[in-house]
Amino acid sequence: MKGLDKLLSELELQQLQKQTRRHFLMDCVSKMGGLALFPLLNACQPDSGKHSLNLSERDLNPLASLAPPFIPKVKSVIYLHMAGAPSQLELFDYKPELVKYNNQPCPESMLEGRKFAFIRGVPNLLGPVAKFQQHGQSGAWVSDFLPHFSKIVDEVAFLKAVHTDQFNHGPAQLFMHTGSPRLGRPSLGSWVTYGLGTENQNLPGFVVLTSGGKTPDAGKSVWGSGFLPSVYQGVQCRSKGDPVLYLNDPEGINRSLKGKIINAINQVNKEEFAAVGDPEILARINQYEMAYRMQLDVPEIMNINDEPDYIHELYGTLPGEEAFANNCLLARKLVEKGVRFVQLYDWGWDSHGTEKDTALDLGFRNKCREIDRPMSALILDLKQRGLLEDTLVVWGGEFGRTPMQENREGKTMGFKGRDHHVDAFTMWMAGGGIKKGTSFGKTDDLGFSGIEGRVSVHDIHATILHLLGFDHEKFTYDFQGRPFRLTDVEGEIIKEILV
Amino acid sequence: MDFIFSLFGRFHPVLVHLPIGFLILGSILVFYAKKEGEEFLPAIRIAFFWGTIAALFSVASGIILYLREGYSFNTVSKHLILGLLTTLLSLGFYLYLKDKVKFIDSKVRGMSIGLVFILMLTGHFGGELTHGSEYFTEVIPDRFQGLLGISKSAEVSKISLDEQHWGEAIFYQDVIHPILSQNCNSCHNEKNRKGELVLSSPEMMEKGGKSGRVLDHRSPLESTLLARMLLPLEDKEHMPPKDKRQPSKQEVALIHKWLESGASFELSLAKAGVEKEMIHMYFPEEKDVFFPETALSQLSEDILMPFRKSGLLVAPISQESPLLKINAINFSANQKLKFKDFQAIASHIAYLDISGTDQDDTVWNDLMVFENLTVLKINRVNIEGKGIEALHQLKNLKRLYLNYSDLQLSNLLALADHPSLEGIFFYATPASKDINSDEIARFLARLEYGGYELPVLSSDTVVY
Repeated sequence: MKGLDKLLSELELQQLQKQTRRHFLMDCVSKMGGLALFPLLNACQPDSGKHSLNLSERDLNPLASLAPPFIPKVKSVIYLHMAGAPSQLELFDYKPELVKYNNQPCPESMLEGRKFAFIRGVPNLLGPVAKFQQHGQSGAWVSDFLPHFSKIVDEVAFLKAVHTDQFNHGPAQLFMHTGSPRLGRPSLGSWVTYGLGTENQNLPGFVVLTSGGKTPDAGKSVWGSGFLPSVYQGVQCRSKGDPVLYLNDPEGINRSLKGKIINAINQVNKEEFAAVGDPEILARINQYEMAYRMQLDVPEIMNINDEPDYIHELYGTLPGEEAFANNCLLARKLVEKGVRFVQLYDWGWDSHGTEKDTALDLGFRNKCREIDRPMSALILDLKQRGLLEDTLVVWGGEFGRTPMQENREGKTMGFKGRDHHVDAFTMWMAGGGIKKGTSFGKTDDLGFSGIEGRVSVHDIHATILHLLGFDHEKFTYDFQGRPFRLTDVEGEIIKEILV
Repeated sequence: MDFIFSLFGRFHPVLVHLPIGFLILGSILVFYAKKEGEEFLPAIRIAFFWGTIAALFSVASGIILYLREGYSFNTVSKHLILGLLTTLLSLGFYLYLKDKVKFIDSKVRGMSIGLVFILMLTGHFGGELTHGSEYFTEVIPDRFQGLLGISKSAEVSKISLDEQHWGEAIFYQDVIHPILSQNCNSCHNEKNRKGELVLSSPEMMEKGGKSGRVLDHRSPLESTLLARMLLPLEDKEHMPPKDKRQPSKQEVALIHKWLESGASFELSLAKAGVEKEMIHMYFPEEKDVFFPETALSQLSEDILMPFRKSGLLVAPISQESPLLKINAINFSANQKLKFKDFQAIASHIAYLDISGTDQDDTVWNDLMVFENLTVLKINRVNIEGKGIEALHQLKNLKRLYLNYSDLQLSNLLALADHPSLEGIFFYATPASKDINSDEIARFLARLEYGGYELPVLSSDTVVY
């Protein structure tokens, strides 16, 4: 048998040596020719030219509202992302055992085979910095860092054992919002606007609002459209000054003149379409018209000054400033006006304990105060308008934080802080289709790993798409020769938190 | 060297074709020959001689196969007896031809026909063993099957439990037995006893198979039944075999639970300590009945186009649904909306949002024909709700939105006993200011009128 193998490999070698570069090029020429022949032949078919002119509403208006494949529970999503990853151990995941082991060295068995962003050697465990209490009829544990939120816990469903596989901010944020830790995939909001369009044709379908002084570490890709047409990317609206830059008419040009200009351009475009028949031209005409309409509606809706005082008090807004509270109020206004997906990013949650601002008992607590009232107000405000029945609110960071105190470079830190942690963290959802006052998943006694009801980032995406009326396994976009999904080849709907 | 026998046994399906060929050839020659002729007689004798020899080999290999591969006698009896009969008759016929026959006559012809008939019958029952008894009938269309009087064999029972009374179901009979019949029975049934194991009845399960018992009552969790399932898929001993249907994780978990609870054939699910989560997949699937189920069919684009042209959003509530969602969100403020135009599609509309359009209290009467209306949003309109009791006609109405309207409490009270309404939203209306707890208690629906507050706390202003 050995001889035979040798003989076969010798034969293969000989055959390969005979195949020269010239053979290769010759093959290329003849076979490429064959490939080119295929569309040529296809073009001879009598009906081949027609379908390019069989225009759907989608061709003309890529944001036209579409029916979802299944009856949806919600029609809009408000996603509150705490960039930097807040500590679940100071907010929702109460671990009395951890109190006992405060300042004790972490058992080495827990560290075996683990990698942390900054922790080196054997760190000490850090007991919860906040005080916990059970709240509401559901008896959910919430810390005293969120006194307002603790009053509305019966509206939300907690996911206590979410896990991810990225322990750096950028990749983890990308994973959380695009389903992949690498660049190039469309964001959740893009998928949704691609699949459903948007109802209000005078406003963007996917709006992004940021607060906390910085935008997410992963950059604008977290609301990018990836390989989807760029019309589906998030529209970032600024909280201060003009919400969208260059939206106002330049000085000396009034609105009626602008209207005339657009009409004239569209007239030319229509003639061009009549001559050429390219549907792209119709799409362009439509987009000019949409931009013209948005010029009026966007500044109006992005203005929170018209809201009554008690609403401002409820949210604790800071008019004229860039604030999470303002963004929460805007999110409600946008959803009320039929915007499909509103994404809020609040930066500044990376509580390593390296300085005062990132200390769990100082800077972190200030961040908690900044979001506590607004996000609670958002839920109540949506509820009182009946918008919570068809809106989904999602809250979370890109990962969680370690039960151990951070020991950057092996040194003891001056402030209380925790390192990035991928194994277990808490997220919550509220709104249509969500089982109110539930908590799913459990972590171990130290809050290190999920031991029950672990859910992945893909599971969360699958659940969000499910509530919007999609089957996440069938919702695909063809790119680079294969269909792509938001959930790749994973994701299971978290039925336990659904009605 | 024992395997030689097994191997020989497995050659049975090949060997059987030799006697078939020889005996049929012989019979053809019998008819080929002229009556009273004798020219083919030597050839005929040769054919039946070798036919007999081949039949002997077939019988030998067949018996080995029967003894070694776990077939029960009941399964193979017809084939076995007929096979032996064929061999004997063939031998007898050959001896008769050799000694007694000088020329071909009708007696010889008759005997050869008889032999071929029994041969065919043997072959048929053999085929039934390898291909199953429904091999022929299953390709026949159902209506002919009915004519022929063939009833379909009972389908493998599907597990379904009642969400209320699941605890009383018998663990073995209602859950384990169906799981075993779906995953194991194709090889371990009364007919086909691979490894001499039958899993289709409690008695046979207790008996076990060639390698011993499969249920170990002293330490149930060590039972072979479970152990073989838990082996890695690649393992030769893994059951069901790698290329066969594999039980799901939940099914294995249930078998585990059943063994843990003592592998009893009488215990109920509740007594065995089964938790609801373990069996939730067997509950009837809950249907989403928020929107009514109708026999309507989807409307054509031609009918919907005029509504779209007027600026309304018109779309089915889901891609396949005949019911429509209509939204006036893109109307300019206070644009008039004429309900008369809606008559043709009224019964298709399940979700109607006419917030911000120019409406008055005549709207209630116009809405009476929207029989499938489930969600009605009329926010930001100047209506007081006079005549709102007309909504009692809408038997499917579940959510009513009247935020920022001029709704008066006295009018709203007319909806207190609306049977299908689940939620009434009237935030920022005169009614929301006037309503008191006694009146709220009269409503069947949840009332939402806002006024939520988050009281100022001392911690609100503390900066750390």
